[in-house]
Formats: sequence, C-alpha cells, structure tokens
Amino acid sequence: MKTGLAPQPCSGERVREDMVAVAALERDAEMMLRVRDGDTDSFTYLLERHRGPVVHFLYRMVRNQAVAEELAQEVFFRVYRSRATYEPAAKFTTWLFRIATHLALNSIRDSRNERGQTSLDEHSVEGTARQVADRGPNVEHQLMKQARLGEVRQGIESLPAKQRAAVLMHKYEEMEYVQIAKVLGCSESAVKSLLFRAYETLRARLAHLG
Amino acid sequence: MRCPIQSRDNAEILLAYVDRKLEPDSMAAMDRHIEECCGCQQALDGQRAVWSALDAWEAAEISRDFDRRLWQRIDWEQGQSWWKKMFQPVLPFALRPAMPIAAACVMLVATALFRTPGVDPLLPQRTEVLDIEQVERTLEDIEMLRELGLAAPAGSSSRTM
Repeated sequence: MKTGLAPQPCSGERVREDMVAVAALERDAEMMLRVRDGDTDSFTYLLERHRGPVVHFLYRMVRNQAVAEELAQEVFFRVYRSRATYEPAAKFTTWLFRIATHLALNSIRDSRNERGQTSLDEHSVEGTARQVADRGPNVEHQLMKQARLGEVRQGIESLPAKQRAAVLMHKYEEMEYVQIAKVLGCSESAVKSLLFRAYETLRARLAHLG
Repeated sequence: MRCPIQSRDNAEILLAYVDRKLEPDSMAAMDRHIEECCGCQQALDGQRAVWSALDAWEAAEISRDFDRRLWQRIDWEQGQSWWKKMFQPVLPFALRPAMPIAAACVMLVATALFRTPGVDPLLPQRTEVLDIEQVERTLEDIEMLRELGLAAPAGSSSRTM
C-alpha cells in the first residue's frame, strides 16, 4: 500500500525489492502454467497469494463485503475455468485484476438502478456507532474515526467507477500506470488523466481530514 | 522545472514525489520548485491528506469458508462438465437453457412407459416358437388319418358326439 510519508529506500534496497517483485510475478505465471497442467496445489498457492488483494479491491469498489466475496469467487472460478487456454502473455495480476475490474464495473452498473437499497456496509457503520453509545474516553475517538472513515468511503464512492478502480489499483495495489492501463484497457495517458481527475476530486473532499 | 499541477501528464510527478519514488535529482528539483510554488504546496499537502485518509480505510476480514465455497463450486462445475462437453458444441446457444428441462421430460416419459401395467419389457416375452417342419408333419399325419378313414371329416366331430 502506498503511504504518503514512507521513507525513501536506498537504491540497493529498491533493486532488491524490485527483483523480489519480478521473481514473484514470474512465479505466478509459472504456477498458473502448472495449474494448466492439472496441478491444483499451484492453484491453491495462487488463491492464497491473491485472495486478499482481490477481495479487498472488490470490497472498496462495491462497498459490500458479501457482494465483494461473491465477485471474488467468480474471479478465481473464471481463472480456474480458463486454465487450459492460459498463456503468460501478460502479468498474472494484470489478468486477475482485469477480470475483477470487469465484474466490479458490471456489478456497479447493475446496482445503480437499485439505489433505494442501503448497502450492508452502511448498516455496519451505523451499527457500530449505535454500539458505542455508552460514554467513555475512547468513545469520542471511535466516533470520530467512524465519521472519518465514512467520509473516505463516500469520497471514493463519489468517483466515477473507472476513476475509482484506477485510484484503488494505484493506491492499494501499488500498480504502475502501464499495468493499470492494461487492466482498464486504455492508454497510459488516459490512466494519468483518470488519476489526475480522481485525486483532484479527493483532495477537494478529503483534504480537511489530513 | 515545469509545474506538475499545470499538466495532467506531469501529475504523476507530484504523486511520485509524495510517495518518494522520484530519482534523487528529480526529488531535489521538486523540493526547490515546491518552496516557490504555492499551488504545488497546497496540492502536495492535499495529496498527503488524501493518502493518509485512504490509509485509514482497512478492508474487512475475508470469510473463513471462502476457499471451501470456491472449491465446492469448482467440484460441482467439474461434475457437470462431461454433460456440457458432450452437448454444448452441437446445441444452438438459445436452446441450451432448455436442455435440462428436456432431459427431465425424457426421463419422465421413459419412467411412465416402463411402469405401464400389462407391458413389462423387463420380463421375457412368452412367444411360442413354432417349428415349421413339425407343423407340416402334423398336417400330413392328419391328412393320412383322414384318408384311412380313421379321422372324422372336418366339422363333423361336434355332431357325432
């Protein structure tokens, strides 16, 4: 996850980190080729490694944990189903997030007509707020934290779906512009434009939280 | 240095600067620019605030049975696959959803046929196999008896008795 105040690693460390990342990516492709050859243990490895990022990305996209998990199940199911035709032409994560983004965008589009329904996520926020009704030193802090989180969620939700996907991949998955472009099926400059507009909106909405 | 917030293409410089991912030379150039540029200072503070706010948004825990549910679905799908492999290539897409219903109807009709009373196809049928030579021989014997006068003419038996 990107952090605004992270210390700058020295070049040696960065090279080592990059090498580890490249090795991991190659390992993903290697594992997927093994899955293609019928090795289910390799699929378990890939599931273990990418389950969290995929579910979390989908959760932040659709803001509903149950829906996010259902969509993530569909993502991994599609990966497994298309194992026979897998070719390591692109990064495994690009392929994975391309499926996830496609499903999330469809889900957002489908649920747009059901605006009347309040999401489970909103229920949980309200529920937490109600649970901390008794007075104590941490109560105020908890309430402020919840309010802050609510604003962050609303800020992200206010973004158009593609901008939201771009920000989430950039911020939480630390993807490069070129990879985000491949996931979203657009040019690198289009991604820069998406991020520029998205962060501009978020700065206007969330800057006071800093 | 060109001001990063004036151009969308250069916006990545600002993001990379906040993330401290610029090369040392670019970092130094950006440091100098920010000291002079009020707009960039504001954007930078805003971006730091945004990322700090986003950091606070932790994702919820994943259900413990996530993997089990996935494998269950995969297993189920694999159980179905022989059927799909056999029929999917030959069936038009529009008819595919109707196939399970059609299969159920065929099963019902077949069950009804097998259970019809009086016709039990499972039991061996009692057909009498007639030997043609034996029939011919019997007919010849009757004819011979008739010629010898030992047999009653056809149709007289009921009257004489």
